[in-house]
Amino acid sequence: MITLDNISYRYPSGTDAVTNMTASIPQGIHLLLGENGAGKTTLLHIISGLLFPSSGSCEIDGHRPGEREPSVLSKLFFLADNFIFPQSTINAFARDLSPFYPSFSQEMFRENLADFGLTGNEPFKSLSLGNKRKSLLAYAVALRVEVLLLDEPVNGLDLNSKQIFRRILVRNISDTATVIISTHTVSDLETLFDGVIMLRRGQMLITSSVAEIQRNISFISSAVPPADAVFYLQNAGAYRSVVPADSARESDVDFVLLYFAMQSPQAQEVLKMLKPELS
Amino acid sequence: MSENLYTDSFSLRRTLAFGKIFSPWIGRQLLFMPLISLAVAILTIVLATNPVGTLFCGLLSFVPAIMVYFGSLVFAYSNDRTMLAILPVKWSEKALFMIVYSLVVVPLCVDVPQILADRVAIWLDPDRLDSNVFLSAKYTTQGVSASWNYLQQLIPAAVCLTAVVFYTSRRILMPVVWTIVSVIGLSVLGGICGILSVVKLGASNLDVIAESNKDNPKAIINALMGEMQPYISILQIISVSVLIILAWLVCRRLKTGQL
Repeated sequence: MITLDNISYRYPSGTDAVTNMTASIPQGIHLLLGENGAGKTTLLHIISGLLFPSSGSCEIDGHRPGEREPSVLSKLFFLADNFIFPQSTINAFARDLSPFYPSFSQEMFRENLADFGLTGNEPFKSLSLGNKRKSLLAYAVALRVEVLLLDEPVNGLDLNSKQIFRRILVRNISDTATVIISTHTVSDLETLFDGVIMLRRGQMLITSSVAEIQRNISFISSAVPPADAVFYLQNAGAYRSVVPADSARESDVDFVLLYFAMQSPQAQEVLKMLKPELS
Repeated sequence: MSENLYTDSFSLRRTLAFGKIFSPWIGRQLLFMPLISLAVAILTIVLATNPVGTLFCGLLSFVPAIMVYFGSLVFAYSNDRTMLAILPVKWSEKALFMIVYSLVVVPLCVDVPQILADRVAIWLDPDRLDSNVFLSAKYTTQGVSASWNYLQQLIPAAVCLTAVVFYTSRRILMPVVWTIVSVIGLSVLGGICGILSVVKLGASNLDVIAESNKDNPKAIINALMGEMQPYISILQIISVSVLIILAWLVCRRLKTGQL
C-alpha cells in the first residue's frame, strides 16, 4: 500500500508541482492521468524516493522511500521515460543490476524479451526507441517488485508491441503488487486498470478503484445524451455520457471520458456521484 | 547474492557490486591508464636525455595528470542519476566506492607505473639522476614536495568527482570545467609559493648558487625547496582540509540529493 499524506512539492524555481495530495493506493494496476504539467512525473519521483516532499509524507507499507534504504528500494522500481545505462546490452544491464533485486526472475526476463522479439544481446545504443523501451519493460516486469512505477511505458511502441506488453503485464504482475502507469494513451492499456489516479494542476482530483467507479457511474453511448447525464461529449454523431450507475446500464470505465468530465465545470457533480460520502 | 544484501546494514559486497555496474568503463580505465602512464614515463626518460627533448617533458606530464583528474568521469558517462538514485545501495556504499576509486585506485594506477619506470631507469643508469634536470626535480624533492605533489593531483580529481555527483545535466562538461578551474587555482597557489620563496631566498643568492654549482642542478632545487617548505606545509594542510570537505559534499549529495 502506498500512502500519501498531504504531500506537497515545490521545485527550487518556486513552482508548486504537487499540492496537498492525500491518497491510499492499494495493490493493483493504476492509471495515473493528468494534463501536461499536472504533477504526474513529480508524484512518481516522490513515490520512488527521487524527490522528497516539501511537506507531508509518502510511505510504502510504512517505510519512507525517501530514506533510500536498500530494503525499501529493492521492492520498488521506477522506469522513467528515458533511461540510459553503461552496459552495452540489456542482458549485461540485467546481469549487473538484477542482483540488487531479490525477486528478479531470469526466466521471466527471457520470456518477456522473447515475446517482444528480442534476445537481449542487441547493442542497446543501436536499438530503435521502441525496442529500447521493450527491453527495459521486459526487465522492469521481470524484477517482480512490489511497487512498479512506469512513466509512459508504451511511448514509441507499435500497436502489436502494446498488445504484447498488455499480455506480459497480465501474465506476470502478481496480485500483491502495486503498479502505477502514467500514460496519455489510455486506450492501449484500458482493460488492465484496477484503479485510476487523476491529477489536475498539481492537485489530486480522484483516486478510485474501477469497482468503485462502476458502482456509482456508468458510461454510455447514445444518439442523444440521456436526461440524467451529468457530462457528455459528442463524437462522430454519437454521445458518450456520464450517468449514474444502475443495473440496466453497467459499463466498462471510460477513463478518457471521466478525465474530460473531471476537467469540466461539472467536475463537482461527477465527483459527488463517484464519492457519495462527500455529498 | 546472500540475504544480507537486501538489509540496511553496510555491505562491502554490495559496495563492490555497485562498482560492477560501471565495469564496462572502469575495465577500460584500469587497462589503459597504467599502459599510457608507463608509455609516458618511458618517453619522458628518453626525451630528458636531450636538452630539446626536456622541453616536451613538461607537456608529457599533463597526460598522466589528466588521467587522474578525470578518472571519476566514469561515473557520469552513459548513465543517469535516476538509475543511480533508485538503486538499492546505501549512500555510504556508493560514496565509499566512488571516493576510493577516484582518489586511491586511479592515482595508484597512474603513479605506480611512472615510479617503477623511473626507478628502473635510475637503477640501470645511476648517473641519469644527476645529469637530468627533470628527473632531479622529481627525486631530490621527495619527502618535501612528493606528498604535496600527490595531494595536488587529488584535489582536481576530488573536484571532478564532486561535480559529477552534483550535476544532473551536462555531467561530463561541468566536471571538466570545474576541474580545470581547480587546476588553475592550484597553479596560481603554487606560483605564489614559488614567488614568495624566491623573494625570501633572494634573486642574487640564486645567481650565486647557480654560478658555483653549474654541474649540480640539485643545488638550486634544494635551495628553493628549503625555502618553500613552510609554504608547502601550509598548502598540504589546506589540501587535506579541501579533500575532506569535498568528500563530505559527495557523501551528503549521495545521501540527500534529489533529481
